[in-house]
Amino acid sequence: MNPLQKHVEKLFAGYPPTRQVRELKAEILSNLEAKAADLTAEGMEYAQAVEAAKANMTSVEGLLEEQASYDISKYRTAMLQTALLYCLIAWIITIPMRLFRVAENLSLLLPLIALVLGLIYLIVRGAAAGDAMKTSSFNHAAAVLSRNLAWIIWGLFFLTMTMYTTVLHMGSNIWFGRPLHLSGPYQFGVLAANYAWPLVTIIIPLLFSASLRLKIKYEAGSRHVD
Amino acid sequence: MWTKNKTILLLAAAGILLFAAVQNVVLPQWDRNAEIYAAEQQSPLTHHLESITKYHNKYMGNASNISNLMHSLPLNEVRSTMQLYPDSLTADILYHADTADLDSAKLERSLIYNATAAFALIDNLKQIRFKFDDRVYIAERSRLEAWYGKKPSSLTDSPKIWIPVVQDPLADLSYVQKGIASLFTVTDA
Repeated sequence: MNPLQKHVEKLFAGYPPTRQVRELKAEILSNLEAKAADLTAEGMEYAQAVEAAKANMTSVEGLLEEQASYDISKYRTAMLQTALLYCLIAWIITIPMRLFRVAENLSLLLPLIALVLGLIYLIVRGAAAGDAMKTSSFNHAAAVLSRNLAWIIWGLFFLTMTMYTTVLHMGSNIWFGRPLHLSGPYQFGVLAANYAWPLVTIIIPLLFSASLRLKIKYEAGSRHVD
Repeated sequence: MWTKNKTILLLAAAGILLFAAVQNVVLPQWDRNAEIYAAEQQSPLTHHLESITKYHNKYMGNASNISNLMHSLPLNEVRSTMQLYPDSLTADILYHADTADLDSAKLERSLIYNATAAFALIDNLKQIRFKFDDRVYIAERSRLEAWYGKKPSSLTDSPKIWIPVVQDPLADLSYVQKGIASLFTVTDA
C-alpha cells in the first residue's frame, strides 16, 4: 500500500464499505495520485508532492450522503432465507433438550415459525423473479444502532436467565454454603439444558446483524454473484 | 443462494428425523424405564438403597427429610401423614388405610424394610410407629439392633451389606413373620 492509499484508508476509517464509499475512495485516490504526479512533473520531489497532495484532502465529511438505498426484493429474499436457516438450526439445538423436559414449547414453536418462513420465502422468491428492481433507502448509522441495541438487550436477557437458573438450582446451596449435589447424568442434563436454552435466542440479534449486512450487500447499483 | 437452500433442506430433514427419534423412540423408552424403576421402589425386595441414602440425617426433628425418606420407601403408594415427637425421639407415620385392604406379605416386608431404613438413616430416632386405621406397629431402635446384631447405621454403608443382610432375607415368609414378632409391638388402633 503506497502512502496515498494509506492516507485514503485513514480518511475512510469507520465508514461502512458501501458502494458509495468504495466509489468515493477510488475517486479520491485517483485525484490525489494525479495531483502528486502533476507536482512531480513540475519538479517537486515525490515525497513532498505526496505530502502536498495529502494536505489537499484532510477530511471526507460532507462528501458522503447519510442515506443509502438497497434492492428490496433481493434483500427480502436473502433475509427470509437467513431467518429460515437460523430458525432450523435453533430448532435442532432444542430437540435434545426435550429429553430433559426443557424448552419443550420452544422446540414446537420453532418448526412452526420455520414452516411459515419457508412458505413466505417461496412466495417472495417467486414474486421477485419477475419484478423490476425496487429500492428503498436506509440510514446506516440508525441500522448499526438498532443492531447494537439488539445485542445489548439480548446480552441482558441471557445474563438474567443465567442468574435465574443459578438461583433456582443452586440458590439454597450457595446461601447455606453446601456443595452442589447432582445425583446423576440426568440431573446434569437438566441443569445443562436449563443453562443452554436461552442461548438459542441468539438468533434474534444475529438477524439484526444479518439485516445490516444484507442491506449493504444488496445496495442499489452493486453486483453480487452467489 | 442454492447452496443455502440445500443446507436448509438438509437441516429440515435432519430436524424432522431427530425430532421423530426423540419423540417416538428415546422418550418412550425412558418413560418405560422410569415406570420399571418406580415399580421396583415400591417393593422391599427390589427397592434401591441409593435412592434413600441422601436422606441420612443426624436429627429426627428434620421433618422434611424424614417425610421425603418415607415417601421414597415401599408403602409410598398408601396416602400417609406424619407426626413427630422430638421429646421422646419418636416418629408416627399415619397411613390412611386398613391393613386388611393391603397385601399382608407385602405389608409386613415393607414394615421391616421401612423401620430398618428409618433407624439406619436417622441417627437419633428411638422409636417409629406405623399407624394404620385398624392397627399400630411400634418399632424401637434397641430391638432392631438386637435383630441384626449390629448398629443400623452400618447397614447403609454399601448395597453389598444392605442387600444380603436386609433385603434378600425378606423373600422368606417365615423370616418376615419372625421379624414382625421380634421387631414390632402390634396393637389395635
